[in-house]
Amino acid sequence: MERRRFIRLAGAVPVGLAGFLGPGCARDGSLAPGEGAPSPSPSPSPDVGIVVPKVNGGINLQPLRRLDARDTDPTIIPDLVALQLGAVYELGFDGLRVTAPFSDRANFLAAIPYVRAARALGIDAIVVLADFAGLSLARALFDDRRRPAVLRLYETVFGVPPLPVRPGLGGLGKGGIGRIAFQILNEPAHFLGVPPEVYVRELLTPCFVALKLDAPDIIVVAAAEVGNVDGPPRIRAMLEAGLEYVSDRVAYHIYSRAVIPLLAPHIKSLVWVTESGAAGTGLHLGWVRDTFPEIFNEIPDASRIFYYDLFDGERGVYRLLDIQPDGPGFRAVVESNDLHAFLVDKVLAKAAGQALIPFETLIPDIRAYFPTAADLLAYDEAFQA
Amino acid sequence: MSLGPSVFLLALLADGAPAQAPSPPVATSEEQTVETQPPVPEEPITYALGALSVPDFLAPGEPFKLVDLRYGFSDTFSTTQAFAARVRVKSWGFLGAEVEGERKGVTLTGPRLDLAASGENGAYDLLARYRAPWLIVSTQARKRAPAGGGGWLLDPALSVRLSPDLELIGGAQGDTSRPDDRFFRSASLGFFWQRGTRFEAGGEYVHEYVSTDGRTENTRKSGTLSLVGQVRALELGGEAFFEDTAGRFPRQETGGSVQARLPLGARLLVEGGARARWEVGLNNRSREYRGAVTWFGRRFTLPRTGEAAERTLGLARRATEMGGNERRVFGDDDRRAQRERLSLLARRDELREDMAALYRAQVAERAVPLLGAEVLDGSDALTGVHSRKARLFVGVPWPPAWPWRASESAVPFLRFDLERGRETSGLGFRAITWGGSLTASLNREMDLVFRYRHIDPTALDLIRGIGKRRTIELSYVYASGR
Repeated sequence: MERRRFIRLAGAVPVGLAGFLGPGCARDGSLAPGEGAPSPSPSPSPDVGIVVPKVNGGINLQPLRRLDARDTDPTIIPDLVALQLGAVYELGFDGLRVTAPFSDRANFLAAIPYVRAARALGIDAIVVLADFAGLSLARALFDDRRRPAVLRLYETVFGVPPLPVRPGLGGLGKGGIGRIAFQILNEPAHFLGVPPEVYVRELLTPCFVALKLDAPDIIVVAAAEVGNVDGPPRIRAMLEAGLEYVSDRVAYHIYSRAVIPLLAPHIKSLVWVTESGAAGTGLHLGWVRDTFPEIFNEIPDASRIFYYDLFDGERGVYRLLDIQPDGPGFRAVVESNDLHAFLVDKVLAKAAGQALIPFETLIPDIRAYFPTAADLLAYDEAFQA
Repeated sequence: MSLGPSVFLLALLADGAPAQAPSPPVATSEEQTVETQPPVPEEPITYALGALSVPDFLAPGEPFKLVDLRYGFSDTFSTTQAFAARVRVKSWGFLGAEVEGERKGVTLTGPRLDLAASGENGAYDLLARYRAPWLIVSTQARKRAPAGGGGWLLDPALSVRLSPDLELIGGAQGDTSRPDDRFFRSASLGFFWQRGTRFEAGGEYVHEYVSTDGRTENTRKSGTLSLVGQVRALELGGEAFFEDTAGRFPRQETGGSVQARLPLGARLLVEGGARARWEVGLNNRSREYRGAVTWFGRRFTLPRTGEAAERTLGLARRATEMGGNERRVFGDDDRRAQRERLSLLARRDELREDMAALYRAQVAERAVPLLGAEVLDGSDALTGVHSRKARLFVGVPWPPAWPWRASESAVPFLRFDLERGRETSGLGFRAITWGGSLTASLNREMDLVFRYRHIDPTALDLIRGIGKRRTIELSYVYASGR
C-alpha cells in the first residue's frame, strides 16, 4: 500500500498541487508580500504519521522553473518546484544540491524555493555558486571590490534559516531544519579553465575568509573536479595548495569506479561526493547499490554522496525521473524504475510500517518559499554593483 | 610507416653530409696553430653595415672596451625599459651593469672567477663561481623579498672534471627559512659526457624535500637522462625522466621528449619533436608536438657537424689542457662567452689562432633562413588547457635577393615573423594571439628587433580582470665578437 503510494507520488501522478500560476505570483517569479502570499504552513498534527526517513543520501536537481529549458519566461511554475521537491522528500533524500547561477536572474531566483523549502523540511541544501555559462560569477568572486556584495547576496537570499514545517524533522540545522552549504564554483578547471592551485589561492581562499567572517554557520564546500581520471590529479593539486584549510568540506565527483582508488581517502575534514552517477538508466541501481558502498569503504572520510540526478532533459542517461506535461499541470514519470524501487524500499524499511506524512501536507503551497520582492531587490542591487 | 623509420629513411636518402664542410682532423695543440687553415669564403662577406673583419679576441681594453650594449623597450599595460652594458677592462676581466624595470644588477667576469649580483624590491640574487683546472665551484644565494617570506635560498654546486670528456656534477640547496623545520632542501648528483662533437649525454639524480601549501612535505626522488647524437645527417635529441614522490599523496610520474633535425639537401631543414608527461597509472598529463620546416639562402650546417664543430672540439680540449676547464659548446652565444673567458687566461696568446679559426668557421657556416613554417600543438590534462601555435617567417638576405636566388655569400639581413596562437580552456573558451616581429641584422654583431603582439584574454585572464592587450617591444643588441 505504502509502496504504491510512493509510486503514485513520485512516479506517474498528475501533480495535485496548483498546476497554474496562482494569485500573487508575479511574472518574474516573485511572490510579492501583501499580494496573497501564503505563509509557511503550520505543521499538521504529529499524530498522523512520521516524516519520511532520510535514508538515501543527497541528490542533485536543477532549479527547474519551466519545463522547456529554452523558455525565456522567468515565471516560476509552482508545480515544477513542488514536483521535484516532493520527490526529494518522499524518496528519503537528506540533502539536495542545486545551482544558483549569479548571471542568470531567472534561474537564480528559481533556485530560491528549492533551497528554502528543502531546509524547512529538514533537508540540507548545497547551493552551488556557479554560472551555467560564462565567467561572470567567477570574475565577481575574484574581484575584491565585487566579491563582498555577491557573497552577501547569497547569504541574504539562501543563508537565512526558514521556519521548520513541523518539529522533529531530523535535520541537522537549528530546530531540525536543513543546513545550508555554499559550494564555490563547479569543476573549475573543466568549466572555467582555472588551474587547481589558482582556484584555491585566488578564488576559494578569499570567499572562505569572507563567508566565515560574515556567516560562520554556512558550510563552505570546495569545488570538486571532474569525475573521470582527470579529476584526482587536480584534486590532489588543490589539496597540496591548501584546500583543506580554506573549506569546511572537500568535494569529489565520481562517475567512474576507476577514480575511487585515486582519490585521497583521508583528509583533514569530511568529504562530500557532490556528484556521482552512472550514464545509462540500466546502470543506475548497480551504481547506487554497489558503488556507493564501495565509495564509502574506499574513502572513509566521505560522509555523504549526492546522486546525479533527479531530472534533466536527457532521456536514458542520468535522470531518475522524467517530468511531462499533463493537462494544465505536470506529472513525474519514473524512468529509472529499479533505482526508484530500491530507494522506496529503503524508506519503507526504515519507516517500519508507520504512516508517512506526505509532502503536500507539510508544504501545501510551495509559493510560500518563492522569491520575495526583497530577494529581487537584493539580486538587482548585487548584480548592478 | 611509423614516424621513426620514416625519419631514418629520410636521413639515409638525404645527402650523406649535405650541409657540412669537410671535417678537418682535430689537430694536436702543437699542430693546430700551424696546420689548421681557416675556411676562406669564396666571396668577401659584406653585411648591411659593411664588411666585418675577424675581431681581435685578445685585444685589451684601454682601459675599457665596450663589448655588449643592449636596450629594450616593452609596452603592455605599462612601459618597461631595459639597459645593459658590459666592458672589457684591460685584460683583467669584463664588467657589466644592467637595469630592467626595478631590477638592477652587476656582473664581473675574471680569468677564474665570476661574480654577479642583482636586486629588485628587497629580493637579491648573488652568484659566485670559481673555475679551477679540474673543478668548478659555485654558490648562488637568493634572498626572497620580505613580502615573499624572506630568508635565503643557498645553492652550492660542484663540478669535477674527470677527463676532457667527462664531468661529475653535484649540488645541494638549503633554505634559511627552514620550511617544515628543515634547512636542507635538496641534493643532486649527475654527470655530463661529451664524445667528440657528435654525441653528448647528461644524467642527474635529485633527492629533494618539497613543501606544499597544504602544510605537508613531499620527498621527491627523480632521475633524468638526456642525449644528443648526430646520426649521419640526422640530429637526434631526447630526454627521459622518472619522478617518485612520497608523502601524503604519493605518485610516480614519467615522461620525456624527443627531437629530430634532418637536412634534406643543402638548404632545407625539417624538424620535429614531441614531449609528454604521464602519471603512472593515469592517462596523459601533458603533451606537446612540434614540426617545422626551414628553407635557407645558403648551405645549412647542423651545429654538431662541419668545421665549426671540429674547431669547437679542438678549442675546448686545448683550453682544458691549459687549465681552462671548458666544455664543447655549439651555439654562437656560448662560443662567444667561452672566447671571452679564454681571452683572460694567462696563456691566452696560445689560443688566439684557435679562437679566430673557430670564429671564421662560424661565419663560414652561418645560417641564412629565408622561409619557414612551424606548428606546435600541446595540451595539459591538469589545467585542461589545449594550445596550438603556427609560425611563419620570411627572410631577406644581404645582398637582397629572392629566396631562390640567394648565394653562398648571403648573410642574414631582414626577417619578418608571424605567429598565431590559440589557447582553449574551460568549456571552449578560446583566446587568440597574433604577433609579428621584424628583425634587422645590421651585421653579425648588431640587431634591431621590433615586435608586436595582440593577445586575447584566456578564461583565466578574464576571471582575473585582464582584458585584451597588445605588446610592443623594441630592442637593440650589440654583441662584439659574436
